[in-house]
Amino acid sequence: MEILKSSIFRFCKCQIWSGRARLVRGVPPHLNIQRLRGFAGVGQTRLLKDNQNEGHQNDPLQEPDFFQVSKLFSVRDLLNANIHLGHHEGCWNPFMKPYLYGSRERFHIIDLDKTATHLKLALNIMSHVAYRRGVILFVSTHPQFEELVQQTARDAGEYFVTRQWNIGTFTNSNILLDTTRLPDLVVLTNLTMFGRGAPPVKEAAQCNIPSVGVVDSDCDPRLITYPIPGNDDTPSAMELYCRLFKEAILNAKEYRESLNRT
Amino acid sequence: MAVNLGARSRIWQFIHNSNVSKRIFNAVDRNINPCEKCCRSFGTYSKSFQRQRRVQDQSNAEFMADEIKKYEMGKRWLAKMMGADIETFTDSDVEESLRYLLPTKLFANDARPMMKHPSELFPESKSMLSSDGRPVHSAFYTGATAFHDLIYDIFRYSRPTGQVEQSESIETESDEGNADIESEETVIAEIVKQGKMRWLHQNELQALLKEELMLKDYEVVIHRLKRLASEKKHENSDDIKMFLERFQTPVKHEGSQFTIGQLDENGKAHGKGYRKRAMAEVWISNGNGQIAINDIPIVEYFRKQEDRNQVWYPLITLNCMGRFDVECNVIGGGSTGQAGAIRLAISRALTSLSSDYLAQLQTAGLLTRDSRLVERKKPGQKKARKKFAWVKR
Repeated sequence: MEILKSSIFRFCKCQIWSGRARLVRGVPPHLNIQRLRGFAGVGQTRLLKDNQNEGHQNDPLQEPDFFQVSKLFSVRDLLNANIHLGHHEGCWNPFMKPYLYGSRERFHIIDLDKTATHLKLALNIMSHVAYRRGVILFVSTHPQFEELVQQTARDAGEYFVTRQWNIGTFTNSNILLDTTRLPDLVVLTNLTMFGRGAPPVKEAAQCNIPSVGVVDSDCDPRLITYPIPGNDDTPSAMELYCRLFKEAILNAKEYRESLNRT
Repeated sequence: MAVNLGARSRIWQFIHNSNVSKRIFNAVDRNINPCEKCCRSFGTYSKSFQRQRRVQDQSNAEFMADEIKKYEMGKRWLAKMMGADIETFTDSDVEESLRYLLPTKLFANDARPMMKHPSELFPESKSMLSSDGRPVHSAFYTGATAFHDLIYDIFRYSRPTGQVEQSESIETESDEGNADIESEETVIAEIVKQGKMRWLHQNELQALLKEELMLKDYEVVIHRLKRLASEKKHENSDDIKMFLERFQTPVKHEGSQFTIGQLDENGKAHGKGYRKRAMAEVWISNGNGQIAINDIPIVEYFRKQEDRNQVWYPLITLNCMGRFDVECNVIGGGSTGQAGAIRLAISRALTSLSSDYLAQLQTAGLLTRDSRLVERKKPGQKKARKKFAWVKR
């Protein structure tokens, strides 16, 4: 219950961060026309341009879902990508309890409604950071998804660490990398591959860098700012996450470009 | 001007350079773009910090212009001191005059006084951040950008070609019909060539990437390159072949490095050889079989018959005893090592006398350097293998 509370608090905190201390309610007025179009991703940039032409140049922080990340995916998509499948009951992390729906044949099933909420939250923060020219770092040390994550980061024009995590990359960056420019958001996947103590998670927390993490039923969600409960071992699931991350970032960047152009 | 008078003078100059402090204050005063507010804490701090640290490299035009001005002034001073013409005083003249004015016997090059043009003296820009404060390269946080670019290229080439771009595949198909006959010849040539190719070693790959490469990373790269090369579906693609050839180099044949066939100015064949701790240098000329080692006849120099046999061995295998005079310098090692070193040196020298000798010497195994060295002594033992004497209880 504690955890559930804290996650709700986190949710509220995001809203505070985005300028209003209340939960999402309804769709902002300037988007009402666009609701009929319905489909994710496709009409989005056009839509953002329309907003601008109509004179709705609001501050993005005033809207709960300014970049319309909720239209990027549906719960059905998550189900089709097998995101609900967790690990065997034996290897669960009890801190994942609030995100679990139940267990079937001794395997945990993740609650996709909660996944959708958290995924939206994560995509929202990611869009905002990308919109403000923040540096987003993708970290995944799983060899199977090395190519996928690297491709995602390169396509989105962001940064990646897909091989071994050098301990001290954040905490000792002025020696190792000869810079003090740390990322503004860290996206972590395959937390179990980080090993004991999960140094990337720990360092991000130490350096006060917000982190987005895909947490499976055997991962520890405690130090992650925006956890996304969901399966992280299946290629279809990872492809979905990477596609969503990429789209969220590119949409936000495109919106900024369109602002600059006019 | 930068006359190197020790590390401290440079730091003093840096601190008292008024431009530096001015630039730092400017960085703080700069109006901040509202879009950058999110990264404010890192952005401004890191920018001023980078600026402060970047001051002494070539990216800082102001600093460089200042330095060049100082250098020119110093050059004119030197020219005046040396009584030379100021306009025609070149950089090499500067070095010469420094050597004359500040004579030194210091061994290390960087400890000697020097005065160089700032473009040589200061490093090129090393900053990895672009103007908007974001790192330039996607792999910036890994610390090994070239390595990750290479891995990414391998990924791209090993993808199924249909996925990359459809338009390209259509073009290549139409080309293949025309160029079938030509490609057969090239394929044969490729196979002949590939028989002698090997993958780059770690240090060679490091030089190619211009980046430090750890052994495990090198192994990963080579493993993936080999896998890419072994995939049969890529055999017809020129792009991939070109890509792979960048990481291959022709193998040097063991004998080929001695087949120069050149004699030195006295008409003598020259060769060097090594064995154990001994190093030998040999000059062979036509004669009647005199062998002198350090100006001493071989019979006096080597008391053991085995050592003499070692020296004669390449001449015996080639059936040319008594046809050549051999002069030899040898240092280091004991008698066995010296004899072996001379043997290798004579064999190597003989290869340059006639091309027929090479094959014979190679089959006799005379061109191989014997890489065995003395085994180290172990603690708790008397020698490398010998144990201390002991009695149970």
